[in-house]
Amino acid sequence: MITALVALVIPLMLGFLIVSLLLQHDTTSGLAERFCLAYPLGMGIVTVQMFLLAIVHVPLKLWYVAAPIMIEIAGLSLWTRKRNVVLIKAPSFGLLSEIFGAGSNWIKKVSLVILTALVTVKIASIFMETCLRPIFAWDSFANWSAGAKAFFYSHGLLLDASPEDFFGKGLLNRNANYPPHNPLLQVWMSLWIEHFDEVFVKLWSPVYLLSMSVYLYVIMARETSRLISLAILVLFLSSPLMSLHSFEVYSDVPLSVYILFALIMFLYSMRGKDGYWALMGLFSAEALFTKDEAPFFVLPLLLAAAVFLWQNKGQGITLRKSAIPLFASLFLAVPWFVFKFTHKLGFGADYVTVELTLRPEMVWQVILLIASLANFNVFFLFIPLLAILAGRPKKEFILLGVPVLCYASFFITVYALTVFFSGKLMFEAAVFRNMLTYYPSVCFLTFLLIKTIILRWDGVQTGSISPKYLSP
Amino acid sequence: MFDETLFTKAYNVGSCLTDLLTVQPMHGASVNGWVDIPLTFVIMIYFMAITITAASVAYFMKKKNPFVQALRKSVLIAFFCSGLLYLVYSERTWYEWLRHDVDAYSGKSTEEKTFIDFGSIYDFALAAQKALKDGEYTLYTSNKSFSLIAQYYLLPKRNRTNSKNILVFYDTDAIYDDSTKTFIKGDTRVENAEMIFRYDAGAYMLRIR
Repeated sequence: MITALVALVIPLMLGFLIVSLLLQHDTTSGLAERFCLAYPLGMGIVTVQMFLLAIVHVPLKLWYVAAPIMIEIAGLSLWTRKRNVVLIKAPSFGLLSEIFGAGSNWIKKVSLVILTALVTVKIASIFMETCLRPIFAWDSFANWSAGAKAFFYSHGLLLDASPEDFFGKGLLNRNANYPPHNPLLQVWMSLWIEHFDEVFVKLWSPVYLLSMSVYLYVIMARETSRLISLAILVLFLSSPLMSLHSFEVYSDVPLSVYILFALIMFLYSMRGKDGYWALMGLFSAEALFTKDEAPFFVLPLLLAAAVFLWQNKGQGITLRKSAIPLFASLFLAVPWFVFKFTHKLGFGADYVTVELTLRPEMVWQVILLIASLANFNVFFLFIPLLAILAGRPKKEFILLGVPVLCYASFFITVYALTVFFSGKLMFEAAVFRNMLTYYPSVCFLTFLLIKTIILRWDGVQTGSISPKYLSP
Repeated sequence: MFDETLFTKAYNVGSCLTDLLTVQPMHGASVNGWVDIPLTFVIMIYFMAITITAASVAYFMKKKNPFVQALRKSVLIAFFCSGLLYLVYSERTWYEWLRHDVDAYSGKSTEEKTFIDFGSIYDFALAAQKALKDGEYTLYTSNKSFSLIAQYYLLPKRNRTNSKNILVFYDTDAIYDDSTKTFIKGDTRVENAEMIFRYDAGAYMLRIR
């Protein structure tokens, strides 16, 4: 158990140092916020490095894998010291001060206590489930864990194997063209645990949810109030599908975290915080290294960023501080795509073939599934209504909303124009899982709409938020 | 004339609205990534959202708010109220699942927990894993999902055709004759197959000499 925790802490430290360096001039981001960004970032960098080591035939054994990371951590620590980067800021306990302080009325205090308890208990219960249950879902075995197990025991990616076994092909119907982030996370955990433990090998999964939840809370609380932030977070966490996916070794929750974080990094970049451009690129690259669907989000996101940069050229935004770090960070995903295409691994699941058809009725089927409320709380139901009621959207919201809309539309196009996912079970599983990957982003966009509506509550059109809705 | 099924559904919805505790819990399994919510509950959420919106609009308009402002406030209230109802419902099921899992799995080792999920196929795979001397075996079973689960737990050892190790797990077409040391499966006939272990009548491991 302790070694499993070490396996989680090392990527956190690596990510934290990178975040601290990139955001060294940002005075607004607090300690909790940086830790939340650090974990998924560090995990992504660790798995990319493992992949790079494996393709140059370095055995995937603990010290071969951990040593470069330790050296990087030491190097980055020295660098932060040399540049006098403040690593540990004084943590803020704003929520506790609001609950125990004299500023708020008792109804608000009780609400904050209840909501905080609900969030804490829910996340704790997901951690508990993770530690209780071994891997049990068939498609977790097939898509992710079979490869992980084979890679772990062979100390490599089976690159010297015969063509039918190359890179774990044919392992329980494994799709060898799926990005290896998830299997390598399991290998990383196993290296520390020293065997492939069906329970602890997936301990990384709920930490993604924890990072995302705390980050969402901090961001939403800063934009409006802690009460609104916690209320939305509690509803967000009540998605049954997200809870289930957070304690099993699926890739949908990590992808959803990378998509959400790339989106929020873009928001801050648009607001003039230069350090976030590189983070946006890094999270986008890690999304690309997590699942094959990611390009259909990352490409529209990059297009939105290009539009923003084009529209704001000559307004103090330099390419050196925006586009260059953004696109340079994307190189993190390049080795995977070079490997994938040079070895002709293909794109998407192996059973996916380009067999076009026209089934517009599938659009209606998707709408019915969304309206059925299965798997998600009411966010998908209310977001169109709130978008209409919020009135004319700000340019910032459009640039954030378009990549998510393009991504969601991509899936609907696939259902309508191809013969995949024809069976009821397969179709429903595909629709809900694909929705899961953009569910946190939809939650965040819903929050932005709620904020806009509150801003316009009393007829205020734009500008800064009314102090009465802000946290003290 | 009323369609009887429709009438029954409407009656059930009506009953659930008068007694929230009669709403069925959600069903589901993560294996296929779906969770099924009964129609009665979905209708209840919609009913609640519409009712709260309408009532709040009326209230805010009475308070001299313009219609658009009243609608904005009302839809936000409806969002949080229906979200809260959904939360109560879904979390009730979630914590029931958790309680069940605590009862079933707590205090057990990883092997014991996996045995709870997969039973004899897992146990057989573990026994075979220990008995296999090299990295290959040929698995025969009539059940495709058994085959895949066994292959998973036997990793890194791989299922190959014509291996010297034969694993049989409830294959209805496979026959082993202990006296002649012959294994027959369809057109395949293997001589000199020695019994390595017998898990039970239908599950055993052979090795070809």
